[in-house]
Amino acid sequence: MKVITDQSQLHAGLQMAYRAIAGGTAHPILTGVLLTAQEGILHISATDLEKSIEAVIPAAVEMPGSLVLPGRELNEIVGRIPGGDIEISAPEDRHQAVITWRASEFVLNGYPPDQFPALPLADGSGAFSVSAGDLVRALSKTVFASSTDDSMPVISGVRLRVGDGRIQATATDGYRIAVSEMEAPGAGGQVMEVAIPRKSVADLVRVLSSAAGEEDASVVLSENHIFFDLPSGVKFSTVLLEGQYPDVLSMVPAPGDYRTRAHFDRAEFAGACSRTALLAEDHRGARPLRLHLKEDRLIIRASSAELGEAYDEIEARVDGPTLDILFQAKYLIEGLRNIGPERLIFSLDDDEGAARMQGEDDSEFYYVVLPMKPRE
Amino acid sequence: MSESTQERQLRVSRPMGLSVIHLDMDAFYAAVEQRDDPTLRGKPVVVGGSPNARGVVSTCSYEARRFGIHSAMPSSRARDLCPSAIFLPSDFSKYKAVARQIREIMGRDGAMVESLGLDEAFVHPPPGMDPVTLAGRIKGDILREVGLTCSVGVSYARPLAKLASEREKPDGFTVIDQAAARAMLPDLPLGDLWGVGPRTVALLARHGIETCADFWGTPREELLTLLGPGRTWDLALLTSGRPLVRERSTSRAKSISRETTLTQDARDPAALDELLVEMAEHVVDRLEREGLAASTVTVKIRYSNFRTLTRSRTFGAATSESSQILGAARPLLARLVDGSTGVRLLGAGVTDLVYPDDLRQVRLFGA
Repeated sequence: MKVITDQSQLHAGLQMAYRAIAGGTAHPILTGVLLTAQEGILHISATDLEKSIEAVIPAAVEMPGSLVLPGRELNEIVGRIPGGDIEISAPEDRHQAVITWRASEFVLNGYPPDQFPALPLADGSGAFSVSAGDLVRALSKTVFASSTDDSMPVISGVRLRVGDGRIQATATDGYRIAVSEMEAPGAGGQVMEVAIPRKSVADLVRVLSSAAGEEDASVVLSENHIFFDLPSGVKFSTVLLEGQYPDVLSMVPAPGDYRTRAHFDRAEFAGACSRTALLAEDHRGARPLRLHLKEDRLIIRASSAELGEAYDEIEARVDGPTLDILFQAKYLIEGLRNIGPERLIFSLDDDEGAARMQGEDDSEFYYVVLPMKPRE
Repeated sequence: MSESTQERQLRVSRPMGLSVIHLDMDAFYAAVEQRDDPTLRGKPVVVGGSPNARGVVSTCSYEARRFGIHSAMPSSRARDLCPSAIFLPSDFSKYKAVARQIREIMGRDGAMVESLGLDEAFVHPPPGMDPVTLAGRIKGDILREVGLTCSVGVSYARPLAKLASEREKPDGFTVIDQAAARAMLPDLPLGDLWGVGPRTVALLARHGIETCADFWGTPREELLTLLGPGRTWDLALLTSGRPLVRERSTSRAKSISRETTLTQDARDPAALDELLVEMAEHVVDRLEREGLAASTVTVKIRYSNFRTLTRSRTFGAATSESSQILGAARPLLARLVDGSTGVRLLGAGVTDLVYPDDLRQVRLFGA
C-alpha cells in the first residue's frame, strides 16, 4: 500500500474514526484503525465491536492495499504535523507502515488487516432519511434520562421511533422520562422502533454534528444494528439494545389528564431549585426539594438537620387543586436544562404520581418525573 | 506569672447560665438486680459474663468496686479479687424496660432527652425552666418511682455536666457553674474531659501535657503540630470549660456501633458471644430510641496479634428487631473465633440506616 494524502483531511478522518476504537483492555487489534486505499480514496475504519465508524478521504493511491495501525499513536502523529502532504507506505508482506512528511519519518508497527473484524453490513430492510440536525437534537435532549444501571440493560439507551413522517426519541431510567418529538418528512409510513445504547449515542451525536451538520443522513436498520450514512462519506453503525423497550408513556397520564397545572418562568424555577438544593438532606444520594403549588406562586423548600433550611418562591399561575410534592433536585434540574425557551407548564396530579414539564412554546420536548414519598 | 491567652479568654467570655443536666444511673444493671432481689443488697454483685466461661464484667455494684472490680475486666479476675462476689448474667430486656421508665421521667416536663445509652443521658430543660430544680425533680422521681439512685450533674456545657455527674458518685448532685469551672479546670487531667479520647491523652502525655493548665501553657504552634487545627480548637474550648461549637449533634449518623477493648485477651467463644450480645443490645436500644432501622450488621474483631477483621451481613429489608440483629451478628462472630486465638477487641454495629423521615423515590416500573 502507498498513498499520499493531505494532513488536515487525514487528521479529520482519523479524529472521526478514532471515537470507535476500543478502550485499554480490549484485544489489541481493536485499538487500531483499518486503512484501506483504493481508487483515489483512503477508507479509515475503527470498531469496538459495538459501534463502528468509517471515514473516507481523497488520496493519491499509488499502490492499493490495507493495513491496521495503532489508532492513538497514528492520530497523535498526524495531529502533530502542521500541514502538507503525508505519505503512508507499507510493504505487502510486512504489517508495518512508513509515514513520511518532509524530513520526518515514522516506522509504525501495525497488525495484519485480515485479523480486523469485518464491519457489519447495512443489508437491512428498513431505510429512510432524516435531518441529521433533528436527530442530534432528539438524541442529545433525551440521553441524559437513560438508565446507567447495569441491571436494567433494556433501558440503558435512547429508544428511537421513526415513521409516519415523525421521529420520537425516548429515554428513561424508571424514575423520569425524557421525550423529544419532531416532524421528519423523510421518515416514511412504516413505523420502526429501535433502542440505541447510551454509550453509542454520545458518539453518534458527535459524528452526526461534525459530519452532517444540518444535512440529511440516510438510515438503514437491520435486525440488531442501525447504520447511518452521512453526506461526507462517513458511516456510523452501532448494535441495538436487545429486549422489549417498555412502553413507558402508557404508564403516565396523558397530557390532558393532570388536575393541577402551573405556568411559570423556567429560568427562575431552575435557579430556585439549584439554590435550595444546596441545603437539601442527603437521602442516600437523593436530595429532595419540597414544592408547594398554590394560586399565584410556587414555593420551593429544602432542609437538612445538620445544615439548616432553604426557602424560595417564584410567581406562578396555578390552575387546579393546591399541591405539596417532593422531587429529587437533580431530576428537576436536569429536565429543566432541556426545556425551552422561557415559560413552562408543570402538570401534576397528586403527590405520588408523575408530573409533566413542557415549555409553553415547545412542542418538541417534554419531561415526566416521578416524586419522592415517605418510606412506609 | 502572666495570664495565659486561654485564661484571659475564659475570664472575658460571656457569662453562661446553667443549661444542661447529665444523668448517670449508679451501677445500673447491678442496682436493678439488687432492687429486685433484697438478698443481694449490700453485697458485691457482678453482672456480666460467667467467671467459669472466661466472661467479662459488664457492671458491678459499689460493694464489688471496693475490691477493685470494674467493667470490661475478665470475670475470673473479678472472682480472684473478691471470691464472695455474686455473679449474674445480664438481663437486657429487664434493663431496657427500666431505662424506658427512666427516660419517661426525664422527659416529663417537656425536656429534651438525649440518651447516651441505657444508663445515661443529657437532659436539656425547656426554655424558662431552672435546670437545678429540674434535676432535683428527676432524681427524686427516679428514686421514688423506680427505686434506683442516680448521679446528676448540672452545668452550662455538656462536657462539664458530664464531669459534674461523675464528681460525687453514687447518688451525687453536683453543679458546676462558671466560677466552679474556673476553679477546677486547671488541675483537671485531660482524660477526665468528655470527648478527649485515650489516644489524645497518651499523645499529649508524651509531651508533658496532662492537665488543662498544661494545655493552656503549651505554645499554640506545638499544639497545632501535635493535634492539627480541628482537635486543637475543640480542646481549647473543652479545657476552658466552654461548649463545643456544635453542642448537639444533628447530623444523620451513617452507622451505630459499640466496641470494647478487653483488659485481658479473651479466647472463650461463649464469653465473647456474651459480650457481643451485650454490645448488640446497646446498638438495638439506640435504634429503637431513635426510631431507626438498619440493613447491615457488622462484627469487628481484633486478635492479640493486632490483626483486625470485620464481617457483615445485609438483610433484604431494614430492621430494628433485636432477634434479627443478634441472629446475624452471633454467627458472624462464631466464624471469627476458634477458642485458641486471643481477642483483644470486639465490636458490634449496624450500617445502612433508615431514618423515620427517610424518603423513597417512586418508580415507574421494576423492583
